[in-house]
Amino acid sequence: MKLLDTVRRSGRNLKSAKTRTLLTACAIAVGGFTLTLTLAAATGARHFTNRLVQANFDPQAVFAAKDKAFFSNNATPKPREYSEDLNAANGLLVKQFTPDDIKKVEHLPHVRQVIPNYTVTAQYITREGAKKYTGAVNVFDSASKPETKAGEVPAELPADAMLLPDDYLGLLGFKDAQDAIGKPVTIQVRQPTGKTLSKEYAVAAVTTKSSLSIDFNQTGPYISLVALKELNDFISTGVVNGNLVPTITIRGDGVDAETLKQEVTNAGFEARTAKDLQSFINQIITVLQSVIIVFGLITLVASFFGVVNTQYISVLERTREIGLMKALGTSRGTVSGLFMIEATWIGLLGAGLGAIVAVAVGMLLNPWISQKLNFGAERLLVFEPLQIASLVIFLMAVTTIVGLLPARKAAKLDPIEALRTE
Amino acid sequence: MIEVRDVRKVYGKKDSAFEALKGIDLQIPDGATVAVIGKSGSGKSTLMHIMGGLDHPTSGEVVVNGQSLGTMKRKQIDHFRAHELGFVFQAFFVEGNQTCYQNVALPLEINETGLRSRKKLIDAALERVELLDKKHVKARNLSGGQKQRLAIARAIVNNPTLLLADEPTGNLDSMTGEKIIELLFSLNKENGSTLVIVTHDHELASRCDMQIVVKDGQVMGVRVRQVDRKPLPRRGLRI
Ligand SMILES: Nc1ncnc2c1ncn2[C@@H]1O[C@H](COP(=O)(O)OP(=O)(O)OP(=O)(O)O)[C@@H](O)[C@H]1O
Ligand SMILES: [Mg+2]
Repeated sequence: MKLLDTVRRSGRNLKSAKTRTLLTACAIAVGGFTLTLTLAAATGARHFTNRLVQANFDPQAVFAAKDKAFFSNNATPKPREYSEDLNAANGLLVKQFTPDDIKKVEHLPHVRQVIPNYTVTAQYITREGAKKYTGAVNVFDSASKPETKAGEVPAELPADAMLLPDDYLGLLGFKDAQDAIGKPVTIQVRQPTGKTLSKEYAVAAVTTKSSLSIDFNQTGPYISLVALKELNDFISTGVVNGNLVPTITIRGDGVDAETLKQEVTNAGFEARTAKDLQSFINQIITVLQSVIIVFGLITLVASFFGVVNTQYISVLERTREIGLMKALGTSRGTVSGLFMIEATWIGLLGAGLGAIVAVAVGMLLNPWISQKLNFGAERLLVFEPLQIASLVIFLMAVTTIVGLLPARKAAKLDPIEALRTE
Repeated sequence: MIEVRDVRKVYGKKDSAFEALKGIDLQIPDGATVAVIGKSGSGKSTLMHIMGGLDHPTSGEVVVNGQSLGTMKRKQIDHFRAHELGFVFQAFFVEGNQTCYQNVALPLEINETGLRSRKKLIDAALERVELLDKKHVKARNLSGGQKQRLAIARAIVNNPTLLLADEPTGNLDSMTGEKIIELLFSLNKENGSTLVIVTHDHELASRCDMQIVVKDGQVMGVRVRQVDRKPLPRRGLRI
């Protein structure tokens, strides 16, 4: 029998048992639905982290720590052998950069600039006629492009200027973002001895939280590196380990990040590029995704049993028809092909149904999810046609293979025996 | 030439074993018309199935054109059934939920006849059994006699060289039965097809070249009609 005739026949058979076909397909559709959504979520998450990393990290820059333990996620704060540069950072005991280390990095051939990632907490931030607030002060990284509500972010922030997060607008008594532009804001820091230093900075721009921003000290004002270093140096004078910094950001003279990273690594420090961070986050996503996919596959195994069962019943129901076909000279291959194609149809129907429903549900839920997760215009579920197509083909292939068992049973039937069944 | 050599068929095992055929020997020349007669339960259908290669004898063999069906490869047997054989089952075995057209199409689908000639052949076959007006009617809605005629249309549509018909007129009134018999004989005359008919109709039997009387699984007698046989356009079985 020609393939076309076989396909037509199998289609006719499925149509004559519509409800059963549809129900079996639904079982596969559940698996297809889960897998489509999982893949979409993982793709979306990857897109999101990639944009996140691109928005927050200069792809040309290298992020470095002195201690490997800083980057290992299983470091514990257990006692370590004494060394001058050991200090606690974020609850972890790690070796940190001394001023000498920083000089050493600065002298590497391709290094243009080293930005120590100081963590400065102001004694208070205030302005005339406003209350005083304690909070973090951050260094402004010229590679980052914060969203603004008013004013403009200059390429190089002057030492006497700051970027003010919009959280501070109300606190400091500004009418609105525009009102703050050009006005002075005071930051005061204090040494352990009680000596204080008070500085005024003109607001250059008012920044707002972006969905793509992962600055953990989000709410602090940004000032230039020079200004922050001044504050830091003042605070740490006389403080034990006050001159240590846990991490630094390194800019090259135009070489690619990988070369720069190699150079820093060779100098004896631990370095990561934006790409490294990206792949690290993506690795976590992959692990999560694999877990969900495994569950999806388990659902599928159950539905495959359903397909086998349905097809076995179908073979039993049509024993006489199979007997007739074989008596009239249909080959074993054609008979088993007939049943396998039926299984393929069921697979296509189920996978297609699952994928379509998943895409529909995804489109419907995407805006709501984005709102709940604070994603802004980003979408969590990203559907890729190629991915969905390969999933559908995969499910079709597996249902076909699973359909092999009942198909073989049909092919092996003895024609006269089969014809005798009522 | 079809030779049946010492064919035995035993159904069941041990205590319940039943010997339906007890050593049948026959020789049927190409292009002959043969009537198989005998009481109910004498083994006629069993013999027909074995001659068509649908069932296997317990011992003995069926030799078609010098080749034993038992030693043929499965593919060859399939080819033989699809291209050379037409079989009218005693119980018709038409597919109730398929139309007359689809039922008759089955042998042509199996032997991969092209779509265009397929349509012509199906129409011609339905025409000959006077079912053309029921072409798109589901077979389950046909009367008993109509089903039988449909089964005959299906058996002749592939223009077989060997037509085995198990009581093809059992459910028909004498008028329609007569027409069907004429149809079968005309196939024999026009194409030189070998025709084997199981029948209880002695009038029909007497018109055949050979009458085989079966009783309790044995051949009781073979009557050969000695007439001035016109040289028929014989079609040898191709295997
Ligand atoms: N599958 C089977 N298992 C056991 N016995 C069987 C089987 N098929 C046929 N028989 C027996 O073999 C004998 C011959 O059966 P067969 O169908 O060949 O008879 P028949 O001559 O065609 O009868 P009828 O004229 O009624 O159709 C019968 O006694 C029947 O009971
Ligand atoms: Mg019979």
